[in-house]
Amino acid sequence: MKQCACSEGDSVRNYLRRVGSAVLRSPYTLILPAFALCLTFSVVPAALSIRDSFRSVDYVAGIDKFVGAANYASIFTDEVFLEVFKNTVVFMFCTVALSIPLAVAVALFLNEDRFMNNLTQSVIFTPHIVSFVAVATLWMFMMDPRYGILNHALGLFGLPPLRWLMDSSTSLLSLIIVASWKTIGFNSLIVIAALQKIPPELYEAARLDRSSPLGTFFRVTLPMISPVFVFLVTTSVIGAFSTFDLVKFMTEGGPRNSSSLMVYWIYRTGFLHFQIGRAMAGAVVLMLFLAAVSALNFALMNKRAHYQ
Amino acid sequence: MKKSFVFLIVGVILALSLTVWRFSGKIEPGGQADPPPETRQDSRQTEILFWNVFADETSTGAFLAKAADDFMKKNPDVKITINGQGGYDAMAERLEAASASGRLPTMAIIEETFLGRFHPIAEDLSRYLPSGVIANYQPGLLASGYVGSALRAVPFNRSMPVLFYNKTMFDASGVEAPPATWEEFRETARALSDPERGIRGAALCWDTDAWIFESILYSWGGEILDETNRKVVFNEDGRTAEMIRFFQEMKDEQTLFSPYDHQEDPWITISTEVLEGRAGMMMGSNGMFSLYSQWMADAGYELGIAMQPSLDGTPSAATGAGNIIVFRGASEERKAAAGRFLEFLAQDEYVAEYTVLSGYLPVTKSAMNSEILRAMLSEKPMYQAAIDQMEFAHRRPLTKNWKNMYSVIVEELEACLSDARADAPEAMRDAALACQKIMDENPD
Repeated sequence: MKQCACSEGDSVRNYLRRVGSAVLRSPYTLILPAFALCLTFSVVPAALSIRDSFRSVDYVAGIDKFVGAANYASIFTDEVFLEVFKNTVVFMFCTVALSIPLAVAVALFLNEDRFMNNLTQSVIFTPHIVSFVAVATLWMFMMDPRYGILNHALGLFGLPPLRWLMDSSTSLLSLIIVASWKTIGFNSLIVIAALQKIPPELYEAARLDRSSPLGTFFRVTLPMISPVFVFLVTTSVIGAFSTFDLVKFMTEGGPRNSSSLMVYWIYRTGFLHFQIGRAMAGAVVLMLFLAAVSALNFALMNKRAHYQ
Repeated sequence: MKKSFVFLIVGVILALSLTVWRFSGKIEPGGQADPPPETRQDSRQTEILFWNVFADETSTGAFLAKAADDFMKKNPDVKITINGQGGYDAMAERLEAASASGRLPTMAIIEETFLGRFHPIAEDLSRYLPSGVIANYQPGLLASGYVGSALRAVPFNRSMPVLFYNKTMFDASGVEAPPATWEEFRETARALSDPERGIRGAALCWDTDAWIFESILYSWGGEILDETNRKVVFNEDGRTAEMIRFFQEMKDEQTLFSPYDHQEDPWITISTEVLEGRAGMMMGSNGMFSLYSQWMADAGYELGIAMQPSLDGTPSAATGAGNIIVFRGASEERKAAAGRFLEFLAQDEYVAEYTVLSGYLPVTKSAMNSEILRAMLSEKPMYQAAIDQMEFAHRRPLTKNWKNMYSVIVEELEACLSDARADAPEAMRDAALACQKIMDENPD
C-alpha cells in the first residue's frame, strides 16, 4: 500500500500548498491556457464539423438528422465542387511554384547590408501587411479591361488586351498573380534570414575550389537554406488552401465558378445556400487533403533538407 | 503531480463536453426569439427588436426610425429598437445565424422571395392584424406573403421593375411615346442609338438575383417554376432562350449596352450610362424613382417612367423588395405589439409618405386616395405608370433554394450578354438542369 505523502505534523494546508506550487510550476500547467484555447476554438469546432458533415442540418426548419455519407456522395458527384477542388489544387501549385522561387531570387538580390537593399526589403514586405481588401481593390483597378494599367502594358508590347477577372480562362490566373505578389515579400524575408545564417567560410571554401556562381548556389546556398523551404511550402500551401478574401472581393468565384476556391465554396454553400451539412463535408475534405499534403511535404522535404 | 494534471485536463474536457452537449441538442425551429433587453427598462414595457434592411443613416432608415418614435409616443407600453442590417443578403445571412444561435429579433424586413426560406419560423400575421388592415393591402403585393393559407409576411418597401427612359433624348430623336411591347422597345432603341458617338438606345442588367430576367420572362409569357414550386419550367418551351437571343441581337447591332463587358457593378454601370445620356432606356426598380429623378434633373435631363414592355400587349411583371415578417418564437406580448406596429405603419399617412420619400409602391389601397400621394402624382404624373403596373403583378418562386438557383441562372445570363454569340439555348438548358438538381437534392 502506498504510503501517505503527508508526514506526521504536516498540516493539510502545507500539503496543498506544496502540490499547488508544483502544479503551477509544471510545464503542463504552463501550456494549459494555450491547450484550452486550442481545444475550444480548433479541436471542438473541428469535431462538430465532422459530426455535422454526416448530418442534414437546417437551423431554420429545425432539422438535424443523421444522413450517413450522403453529404459526401453529394459533393463528389457535384460538378461545381469538383471544379472548385481542381481550381484550388491548381491555385495552390501555381502560387507555391511562383512565389517561392521568386522569393529566393529577390532574397539573393537583396542579401547585402546596404541602405537601398534594406529599403527595398521594406517595400517588398509591404504587401504582406496590407489588408486583402485594399490589395483586391488595387488589383481590380489594374486589371480593369478598359482602363487598367496591365492591358496598357500589354498594348505596349503589341499584345491584345485581356479581360482578366471577367473571363473564365484568365480569372484564376489573375488570382494566382495577386496571391503570389502578396506573399513574395514575406517569403523573401524568411529566405534572407536563412541566407544570412550561412557561414561565410563555406563560400570561401567554394571560391578556393573555383566553384562557379551557379555551382555555389546549387551546392552551398540552396542546401543551406533548404530547411526554410519546409516552412515556406507548408505555410504557402495552407495559405493557398485557405484563400477566401481575394475570391470574395475580386470575383465571387466567377465567371461560372472558374475562380471559385474551396473556402469560398464552403462559405457559399453553408451561409448563402443554407446547406450546412454539405458545407461541413467540403470542410472535412479540405481538412483531410490539407493534412495529407502537409504530411507529404514534411516527408519529402525533411529527407532533402539539410539541417546543420 | 501527474495525477493533479490529469484531473485538470479531465475537468477542462468535461466542461467543454458539457458546453458542446448543451449547444448541440435538438434544434427548435427558429430557436428562441427575442434576446433579453440589454439595457434597463420599464418592466411594464414590451420591447420589440426590429431588424431593418436599410442602414440607420439612410433616408429610408430614418423614416422607419421616425415612424417607430411616433408609434412609441402613442403606445408608451412598447419600446421598439431598430437595427439596420445592410441589405437583403446580409439580412438573410444574419437571420440564418440568429436561427442557429436562438437569438432572433421580434420582426424583420426580408426580400420577398426569402420567405421561401424563412416561412417555417414566421408567424401567421392574420392572428395579430385586423382583417380590415389585411384587406387594405394591395392584393398584387400581398400575394407573395402567403404560404398556403397562412399570411407569413406583409408588404412594406415594395417595388416592381419599370422602364426608365431619358425623355430629353426621346424628344431629340423624335420618339413620341415609350415602348409598350418588346418589338417597340427594339425599334425605339434603334431610333435612339448612335454607335459612332457611343450612344446605345437601351441598357440592360439582369440584376444580381435575376429579378429583371425573371420579370421580362413573365412579360414574355414564361415561368420560372410550375404551380407546385417544385419543377423548373423556364426552359420547357424555348421561349427563354428566344428572349435572351432577342437582347443578344440588340447588343450585336449596337443598340443595347451590356454592363457585363465592364468590371464595375452592373447596376451602377447602366445607371451611369442612362444618367449621362449614353443610353436612352433601362429596366430598373421603381424604388429608385426619387433618386433617378434627382440625378437626371441635375444632369439636365428629364426622366420618364413607363410600364415594363410586354410581348404582345399583355403586361406581366415581377414584384420585389421588402416584406415584414414576425418571428414565431417571440413571446405573445411581443408578437401582439409587433402586430400593432404593423397596423400603425399601414396607415395612409405613413404609406404615402414612404412612397413620396423613396419611390417604393404605395402598399395599401386606401393610401392611393391620400392627399400626399395625390400631390405627388400631380407633380410627377409619370409615376402613375408604376402604380398602374401593380395590377399585373406576377407570383414569385417560393422555395428555400431560390438563392442558390438564381446564382446559377445569373452566371449563365451574364455570359450570354458578355458574349453576344454565346449559345443561349445551351446556357438556359444548363441553368435549368442545374436548378432542378438543386431542388431535387434539397427539397422544400
